[in-house]
Amino acid sequence: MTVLVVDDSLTMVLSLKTTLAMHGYEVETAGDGQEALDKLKAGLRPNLILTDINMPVMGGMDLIRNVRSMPGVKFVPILTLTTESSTDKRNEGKVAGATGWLVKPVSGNDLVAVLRKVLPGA
Amino acid sequence: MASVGVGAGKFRAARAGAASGRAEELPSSAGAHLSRIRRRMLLESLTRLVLLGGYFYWAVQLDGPGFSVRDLHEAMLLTVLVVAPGLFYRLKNYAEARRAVTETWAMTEMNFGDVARIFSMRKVLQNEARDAAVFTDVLREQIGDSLTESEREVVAAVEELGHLIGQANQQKERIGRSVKSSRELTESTRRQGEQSKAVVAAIEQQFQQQNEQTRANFARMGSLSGEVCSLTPLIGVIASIAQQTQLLALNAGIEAARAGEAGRGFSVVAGEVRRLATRATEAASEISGKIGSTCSKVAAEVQSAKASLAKLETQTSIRRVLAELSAMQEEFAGNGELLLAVIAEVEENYGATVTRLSEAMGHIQFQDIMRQRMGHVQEALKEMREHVLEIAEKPDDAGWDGQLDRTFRGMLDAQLSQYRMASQTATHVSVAGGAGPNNAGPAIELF
Repeated sequence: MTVLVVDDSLTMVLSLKTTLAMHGYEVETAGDGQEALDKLKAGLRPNLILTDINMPVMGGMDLIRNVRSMPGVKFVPILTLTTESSTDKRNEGKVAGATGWLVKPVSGNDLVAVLRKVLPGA
Repeated sequence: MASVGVGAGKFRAARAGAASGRAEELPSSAGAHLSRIRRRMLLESLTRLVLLGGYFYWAVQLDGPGFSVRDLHEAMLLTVLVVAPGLFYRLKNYAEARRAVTETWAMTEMNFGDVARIFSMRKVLQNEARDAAVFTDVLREQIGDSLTESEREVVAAVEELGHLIGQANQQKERIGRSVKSSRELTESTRRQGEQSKAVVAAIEQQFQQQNEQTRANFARMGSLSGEVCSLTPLIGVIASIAQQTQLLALNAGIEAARAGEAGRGFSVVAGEVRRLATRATEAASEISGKIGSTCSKVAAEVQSAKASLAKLETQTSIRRVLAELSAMQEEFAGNGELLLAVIAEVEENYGATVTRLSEAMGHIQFQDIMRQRMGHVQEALKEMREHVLEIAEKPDDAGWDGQLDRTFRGMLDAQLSQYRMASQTATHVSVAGGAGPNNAGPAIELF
């Protein structure tokens, strides 16, 4: 199972990569939404996308909207992992097509539990 | 500072007095100045009226004799158009001049030291405001550097953990392979042990049969040897009888010869008996030889049987070695089980380590949270810097109306609406009050 981690924080990217790798996931990373889109356009086909919301160049909301209209990946589950916890932002993410909303910090074990729920058989 | 405050108070009182028109507070010199202004204004107004009267007179003369209603209307219109604006303008000038005189008086009456201190205080405050901007710059940079440093260190720690986890994963894979190999080895050892046991059992059975057979052969040879050897005395008896018979036949021949013709027939018999005895002796000798030969063969057989027994004893040693080998295999198989148990424990410990490391990785996310909160603080400091600089420049702005484009209260309210995290809102509200956005939803929500 491959997870695409999108976050502008190197700390987040590394900690998530390490955590997921420990639990047997293959991890691809991107520093913002545009880089993630470029990788998807280049043929990357992750089983799940885990993205931050507030990022430079392209934020998580725009990434979700773009992915939902991109052939080949439009049905890939997208989880957000962000400090944004307001109801308005959640609803915006839900409308954009997010599969779930995770507010930082989320422990590695809770994160893996959610991934196993979203990706049965993972 | 206190004297400065008193001087400023006087200045404000003078301005207030000027605004309310309390001319009685003015000194005589100022009053004389104002009287001159009033006189000049009155003289100018009278001059305008005289000029206007001359104009009327000249205009009436041009229109013809008499003073009509039309002339009256023109006079009124000209009065309004020419005299009223001038009068209004003069009155306004007078009010401004009066206020200027009043302020000048207030300034003059004040202690010049107080005035100097007021200007000095304003300069100090402006300089302080400018230094406050530098101060906030330093704070922002300090925060920025701290964030960069903490991120670098946390990243290094995470990378180090990543290396350790990578090594642990490799060890786990090796352990996995070891488990597989150990299980296969243990199973192989177990099978070999069973085969060895079967081999040992078969060999033992064969040994038992061979041993029994050898013992039976040995018993038979012993019995045969006894029987054969027991014939030796009997052969001696036969030989002795044969010798005695030969002697008797010899005596009978002698007696027959002595009897002459009458003993001739008996002499023949005695000769036959002697030949018979001789053959018996020869037969006894031959039988004795054969018995001796048989005894030698039996002795050889017995020797062979003893050799077989010795061989059996040697084979018993081999059996013991096989038994020891089987015991070793069993012990090895037991150690294999122990090794598997140890490996299983190692795997269990690895699982616990992964769980704890996953928790630790969650805690590391606080670095990103802190980074974002500090980012907000940096933005707020930047805003504060710009605001303080604006305030510092205001006293030098002659056209400043005393109003501020933005205030700290307004900036606080704006901050409250921009928070992303519930913790940010909670901190703000606990210090400055107000109501922030609703951002207290669940940490994990699946749509």
